[in-house]
Amino acid sequence: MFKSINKIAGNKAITFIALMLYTLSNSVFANTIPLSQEQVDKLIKNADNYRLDNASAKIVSKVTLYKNNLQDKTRSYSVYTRENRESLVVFDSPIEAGQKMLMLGDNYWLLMPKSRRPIRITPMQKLLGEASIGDISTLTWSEDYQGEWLKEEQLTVTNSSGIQALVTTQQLLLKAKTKGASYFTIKLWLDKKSGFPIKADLYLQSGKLAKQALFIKGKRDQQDKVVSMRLDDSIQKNQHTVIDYKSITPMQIDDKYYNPAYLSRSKNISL
Amino acid sequence: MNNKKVCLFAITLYFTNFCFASEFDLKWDWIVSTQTSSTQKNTFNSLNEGQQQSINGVLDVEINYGELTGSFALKGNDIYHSDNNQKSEAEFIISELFWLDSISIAQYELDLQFGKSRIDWGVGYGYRPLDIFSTYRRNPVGIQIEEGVGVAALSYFDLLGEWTFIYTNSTLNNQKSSNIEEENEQQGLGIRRYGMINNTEYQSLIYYDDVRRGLIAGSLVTVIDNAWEFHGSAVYQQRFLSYQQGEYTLEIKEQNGAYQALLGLTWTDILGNTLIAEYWYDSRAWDRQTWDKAINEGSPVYQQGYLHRNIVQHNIMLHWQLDSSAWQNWQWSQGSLLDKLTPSIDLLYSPADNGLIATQWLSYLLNDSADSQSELQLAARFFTGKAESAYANLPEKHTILLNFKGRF
Repeated sequence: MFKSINKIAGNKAITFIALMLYTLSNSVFANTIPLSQEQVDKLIKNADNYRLDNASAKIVSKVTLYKNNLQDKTRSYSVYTRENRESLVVFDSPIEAGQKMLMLGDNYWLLMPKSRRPIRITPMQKLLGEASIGDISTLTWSEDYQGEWLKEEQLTVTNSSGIQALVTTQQLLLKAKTKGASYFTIKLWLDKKSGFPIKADLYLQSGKLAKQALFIKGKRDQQDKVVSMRLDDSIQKNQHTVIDYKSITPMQIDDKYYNPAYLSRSKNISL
Repeated sequence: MNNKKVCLFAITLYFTNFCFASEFDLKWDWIVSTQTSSTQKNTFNSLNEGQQQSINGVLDVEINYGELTGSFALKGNDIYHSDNNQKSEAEFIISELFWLDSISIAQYELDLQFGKSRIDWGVGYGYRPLDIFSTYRRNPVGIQIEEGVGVAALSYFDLLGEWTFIYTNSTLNNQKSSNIEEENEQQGLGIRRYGMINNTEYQSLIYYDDVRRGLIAGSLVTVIDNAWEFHGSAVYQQRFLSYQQGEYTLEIKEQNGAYQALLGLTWTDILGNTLIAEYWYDSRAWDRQTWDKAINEGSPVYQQGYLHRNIVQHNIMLHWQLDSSAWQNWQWSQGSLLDKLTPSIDLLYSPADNGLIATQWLSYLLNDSADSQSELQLAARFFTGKAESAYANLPEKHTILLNFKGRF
């Protein structure tokens, strides 16, 4: 009997040691094996799909700016995006009614309310302002950034119910490959299991950390999606912005709405 | 216009906003402007000096109803004036009222526009040579209502451009104009092409009207890199009207061949600084010799030379503005009242006679919600330069305004 007990105890000990070694190897040894470029590209594309999984879509978002945790102002936008980095941003708030921004690759036009002529603006001008238009109009990283794998890292993540959990993440470094990219570099943490974006550090060309983003998971069409994003301002530490993605609907609008000459014509987008 | 009728109209418009908000799309803007101007003795009028104060206001609404768009302004001139002889006046101005819709002819979809509308093809900051239908003062310090012109236009939009066939009539102004502006009121026909080649947008235009008897124009705008933008435009017209000096007299005469050209650069940095530098030339304006003769002779009638579209032929403009978000870059200004302040300055220099007009604005955002916005703006314009320059001999020495404006 004692031989059987010893045998069982021995097997359990071996199993326990094996489990410990496995856990240790995952946390220590696995992050020494970098991911290939192809794997990184796939990870980024997968992360994009949690935000926008259609080439052409209408994204309705609400942006709330908080100062000292008090609501300072809100804005609403409808973004009509399509392939080749083309987007039409319609400013929906009453105070900005009539204002639009058109983005065709690295070319940008801004139409002010009551104006009859759009103004051509530079990529630099597009980045200015409290709630950068880039934050609400760009929902993909794969088109504007080139990624490289940095390491695996464990993060403490708080879910929407306030429960904290330890999550293993893949940390990537994204570098801007287009003129119009809102940030020069981005450090991006993705859930190792699902590829869901957890958080991002957003850097300017000077190397200064501009904002830190947290991606909030929710359900859209019964699938896990990024339903909102919180941006903590690293320069004005008492300020943060919450972007709520109210709806993302596959939609294609006429080519004419992406024509700069038509920008001042289109009072309402005809569906 | 009877002040009571104007007030009643304003109240009616205001309540329309509440009663019919769901059917009409209304955008309101308002300004109350207090102004103090200092006039000076100059070569044209040695008795003219002193200060005057006035209060002016405007309530402006753009109404969209289906394919119809209208812009209406109720303007109060000299609501208060320090000179008791100056009477207050109310103006009701229909800036725009037009119908715009799409029609199909064969397999082509065309836009048809008919009515009174601003046609804003101009490219530039300090001056826009391609604003050929209406003359708007660029970057005014006080209240300006931009009126449209009578227009019938047919537009076709292709992949990245537009063809427009247009008729315009600029005689439909509600506001008072100068003699030369009235003489320049025109009607004519033209064709315009707007397009993109890589990242450069261009316009080309041919127009024939009863005043200029033929005009060709073009513009280019391109973004050079992340921070730099270039723009340029040029116009040539067969005929033009300008004031011609006689012996202490002045009359409007028709002359042959005039051109205007503008070149400009814009630079912006990540901090929020925007710099614009422009040079433009207008052959219709008086040259150095003509201004010298006017200033030397000093006859008051020569002041009408200031009524040309550009006062002098050669113009250099430097503009600087700091985006309000820039204040967060420095620790001393973070979270302070400054983070709602937008300063800007314009320097308009006449190299031919060393004249200078300097304008500065300080705009402070008072209130900003999704439904309304209000702003306080301090503006000051100084007319200076060498004593013999055209700018230094303008009737005003400086103008300072406190504008309270908003929208809802």
